[in-house]
Amino acid sequence: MERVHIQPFLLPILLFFSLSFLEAEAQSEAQALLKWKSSLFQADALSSWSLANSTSACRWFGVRCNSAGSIVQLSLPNANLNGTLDEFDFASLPSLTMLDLNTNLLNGSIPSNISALSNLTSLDLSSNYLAGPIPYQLSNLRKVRHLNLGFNSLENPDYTKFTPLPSVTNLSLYNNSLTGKFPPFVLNCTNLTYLDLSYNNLMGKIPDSLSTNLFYLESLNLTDNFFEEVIPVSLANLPRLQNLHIGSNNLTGGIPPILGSISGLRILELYNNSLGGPIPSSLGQLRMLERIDIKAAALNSTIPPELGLCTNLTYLELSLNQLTGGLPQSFSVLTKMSEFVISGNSLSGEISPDFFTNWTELISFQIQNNEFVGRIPPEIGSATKLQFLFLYNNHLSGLIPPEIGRLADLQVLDLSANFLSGPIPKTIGNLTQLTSLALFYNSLNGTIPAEIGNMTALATLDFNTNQLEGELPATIAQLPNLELISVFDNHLSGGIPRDLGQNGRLYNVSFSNNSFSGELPPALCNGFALQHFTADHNNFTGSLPACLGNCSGLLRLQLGSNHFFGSIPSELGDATQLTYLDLSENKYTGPIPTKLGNLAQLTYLDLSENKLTGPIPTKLGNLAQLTYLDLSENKLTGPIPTKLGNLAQLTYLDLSENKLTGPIPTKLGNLAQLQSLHLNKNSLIGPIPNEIGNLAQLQSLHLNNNNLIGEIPSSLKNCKQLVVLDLGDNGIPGNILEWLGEKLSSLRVLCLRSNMLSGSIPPQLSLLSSLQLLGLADNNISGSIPQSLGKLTAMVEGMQERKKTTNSLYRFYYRESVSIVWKGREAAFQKTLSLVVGIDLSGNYLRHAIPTELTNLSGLVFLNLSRNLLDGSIPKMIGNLKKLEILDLSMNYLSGTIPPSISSLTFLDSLNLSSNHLSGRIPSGHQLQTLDDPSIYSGNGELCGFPLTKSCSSIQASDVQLLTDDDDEKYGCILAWD
Amino acid sequence: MASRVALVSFLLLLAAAPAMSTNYEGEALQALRARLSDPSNALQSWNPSLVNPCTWFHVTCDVRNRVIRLDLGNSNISGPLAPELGRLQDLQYLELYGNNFEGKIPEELGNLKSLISMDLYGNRLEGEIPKSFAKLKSLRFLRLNNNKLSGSIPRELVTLSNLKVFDVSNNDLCGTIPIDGPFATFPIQSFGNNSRLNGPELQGPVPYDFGC
Repeated sequence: MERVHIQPFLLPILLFFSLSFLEAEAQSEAQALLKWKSSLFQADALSSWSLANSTSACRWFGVRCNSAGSIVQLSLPNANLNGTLDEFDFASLPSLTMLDLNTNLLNGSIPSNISALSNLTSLDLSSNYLAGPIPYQLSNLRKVRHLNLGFNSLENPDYTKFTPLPSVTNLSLYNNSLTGKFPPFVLNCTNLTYLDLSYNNLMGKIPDSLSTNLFYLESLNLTDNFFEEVIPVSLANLPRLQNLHIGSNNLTGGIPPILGSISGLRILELYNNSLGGPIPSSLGQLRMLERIDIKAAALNSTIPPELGLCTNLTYLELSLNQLTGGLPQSFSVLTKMSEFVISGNSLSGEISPDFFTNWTELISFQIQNNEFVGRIPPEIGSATKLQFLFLYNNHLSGLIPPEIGRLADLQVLDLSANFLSGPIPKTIGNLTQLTSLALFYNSLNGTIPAEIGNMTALATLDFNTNQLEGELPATIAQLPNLELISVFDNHLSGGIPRDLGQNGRLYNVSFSNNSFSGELPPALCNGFALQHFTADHNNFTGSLPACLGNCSGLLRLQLGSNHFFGSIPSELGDATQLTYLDLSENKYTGPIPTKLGNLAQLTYLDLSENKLTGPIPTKLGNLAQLTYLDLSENKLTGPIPTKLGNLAQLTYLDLSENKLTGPIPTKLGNLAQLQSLHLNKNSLIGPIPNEIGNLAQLQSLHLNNNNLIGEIPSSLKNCKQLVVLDLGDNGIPGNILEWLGEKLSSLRVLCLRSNMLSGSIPPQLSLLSSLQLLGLADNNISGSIPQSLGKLTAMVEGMQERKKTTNSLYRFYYRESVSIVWKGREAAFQKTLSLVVGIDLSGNYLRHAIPTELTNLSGLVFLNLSRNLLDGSIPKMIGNLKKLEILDLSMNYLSGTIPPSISSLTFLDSLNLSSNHLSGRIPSGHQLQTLDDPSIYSGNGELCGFPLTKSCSSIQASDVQLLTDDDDEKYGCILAWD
Repeated sequence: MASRVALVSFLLLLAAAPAMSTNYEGEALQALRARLSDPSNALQSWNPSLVNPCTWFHVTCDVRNRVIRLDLGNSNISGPLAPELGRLQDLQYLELYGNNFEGKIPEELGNLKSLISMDLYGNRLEGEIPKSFAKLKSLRFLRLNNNKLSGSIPRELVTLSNLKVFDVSNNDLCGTIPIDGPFATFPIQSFGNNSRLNGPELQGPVPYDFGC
């Protein structure tokens, strides 16, 4: 504060001057102030500024005069003053030593005549809206010591005319629009002790002359500029430096170890620079250090134990680096530690219990996103001032110590994504200040303690993905501030407390993947705040709470795989923000509410696997944002609405397994984004429309099990992305066209079984280098099996794995389903479809021998050539098909012996060679011994040996020779008894 | 009274347990898998989220979706045999030969009441042949050869009247060889290379675990 000292010896002289002179001067000062006041838009704070109030301005608010009546101080901070300084007659206030207008609404520029304040020692215009260049005339204020122009929008002064301010000790220009290199005039303000240039757009190197010229500097703040290159080692030459803030620049080249020699340093901030390199152990010499912040600086060393020597540390922030190793035990003596943040590194080892017993001032402990192991020390209960405890995403194991209940000030507790086990301690109920409790993604078991109802501040409760069991405690419904409750992926059961939601604040609720039962609590959405509600994969029953339709913010409703029944409430059509609606796998009956067509934001609609009846509402064609529509496995009737062809964003359309009739609408050809079309298992008639060929993105087309007739349209050759094509079980005639092999080069599954296809198998099918499933069974196909099928490379062992990595369709594949005849029964393969490799050509008129080339397909899991007219012998190398589980060659005209190599098929568990003309000894071997059902070989008059009752005569004894090739001998051992 | 009701309902719960779980047999197989090392990905298709294990490779079901075969011969698998396998009540063929299974044979395998064939040969199994195998009344093929089994051959096995093939050669068994029941017909090679096995047991006072 500036004081006005009137020297006693001057008093007589002052008195000598006539009063009228002084009065005239005082009046002109008052007039100057009033003139400025009248220029302001908003000056309520200056109501005392009125000649009517007092002719002397000295009594006005914020004004201070010297004994002579001249204004020496004008102090109006935070006074809501709105206007400019343009009408401020600085020349009328020649005695002013202090001008403080900080935190007002002043705009415009700083007038150049401010230089008239020649006696000014302190100027504070910070936190206003001043703009334009800083006037170079400011440098005429030769007496100014404190100059603060921070937090405005000021630009560079004309440096060529800006002379150094010899008296200035404190200079703040932070948060302005200064550009270019380090301001040159500053380097000549040699009396500076405090310099703040933070939050500007300065660039270039931090000049070495700063250290040589500004000898008295105690605080340097260059935060958030664009300074680049290295941190100058010359900074160590500033003997009085206490605060060094150079975070958020583009500094590189590591931390100079010599910074450790700035012995008075209290604050060291180097964060958000791409420094790299280690934390120098020399920093341990900074015994005065209180705060160190080197967050996000690409540091890649261990934490030096020497930092434990900085016993004044209260704040340590080293997060988001690549630090490794453990926490030094030396840290346990840092008894003043208040905030400790080392998250987002690769730190490992155990957490020392000493930290918690010794750091009695600890408020925040954040070690998340590291690789810490071991237990949470029970001693954590000693750190009773803790407010924030973040241990999430480490490898911590063992129990949550009950002592955690002693941390009565705790506000946020996050232990998620560790390997914690055991129960949630009852003592957690003591944490009455806690607003957020995250324990998700651990292995916690036991029940949720009822004491949780005591946590009255709790807003967020997230226990998802554990092994918690039992019921949700009823007390949970009493929590007045609860907004989010997430317990998905646990083993919880029983009903939801009936009053849950009565606080009217719940906006995010997830019960998914548990065994909850009963009805949903009617109060759940009482406050209509609900945005996300997921309860899928439980045993909920009854109907939905009526308030759901009133939740105008509802975005996601995911209730699939429960036992909800009745009709789908049409009120859902009122929740117009809804983007995701999944009611699949329930017991809903009745029609699909037409009102669902109002949900203009809906992107995902899944009503599959219910018992819905009636037609598909035409209004669903209004859902312009829809990308996913699944109505499969219901009892829907009538035709497919042509308006579904308007759903331009649709990528997935599944209407399969209903009772839909009529033709496939040609308009479906408009769905340009469609990747997956499932219309299978309906009663659709007519031909496959040519327009399907417009679906250039189509990867999956299932039209099987309908009554479709007419040949496969040649337009389908445009669907070059097709991966799965299933047209089986229809009445499709004609030849298998060569272009299938030539154009649809991405095909992995081709199923045309049970149609009326004729002609021969085109050899071009072998061009399908990704094909893993070929199903042509039960048609009228004739000719021989092309040798070229032996070139289907995706059916060679190991090839499908390689394909999968080069093909990004794995996720998409997840939703696929293809039916295959599997071990005597029809089975649908879905999630593991990508592993199934096989050929089914059974039930046709194929002739001639089985091409030996088929035995190249070493990845085959099944091979079914039964019910044809094949002759010749079984290929000798059949044993090459090491993955084969199913082999059916029955009901052909195969002759000769069964190749001994068949006994090396150790995975074979379904074999049928019956009704052929095979002869000779049935080979033995590990796996064939377990296939002991004689019917496998029946209807072959000349076969003998196990498991048939007919034993082999001496003629077949020569086959024993072949047996010696069998690796059965590996364990065979004939020993002399002694 | 209340406690009796509770007890009764508890017992009912126990009895109903297999039927209550949607994938009881699949979970048993997952329990096996969980402890195994499977470098050749033989078990890759064992997706636990499927409603039953019937489309898993190396598994065969009957028409009621009950597992009747497990075929994992020569699959390069190592690890212990899970006791949970004993839950596969309809299993007929347990083919785990030629792997690196280790540890003891769980006595729970004696619960496989439908088992026709058990091939555990060519592994690293140790400990004794469980007496509980005497409960496998349908068993026709039992091959335990080429392991590290020790102890004596349980006499209870002589009651397995359907047993046609029995092989315990190349182990570390001791005692004497039973001669009753089906053991009357097994060739001596089935017992070979067990250095402490003392030949067919003699009628009389010599204990069957003589030399153990």
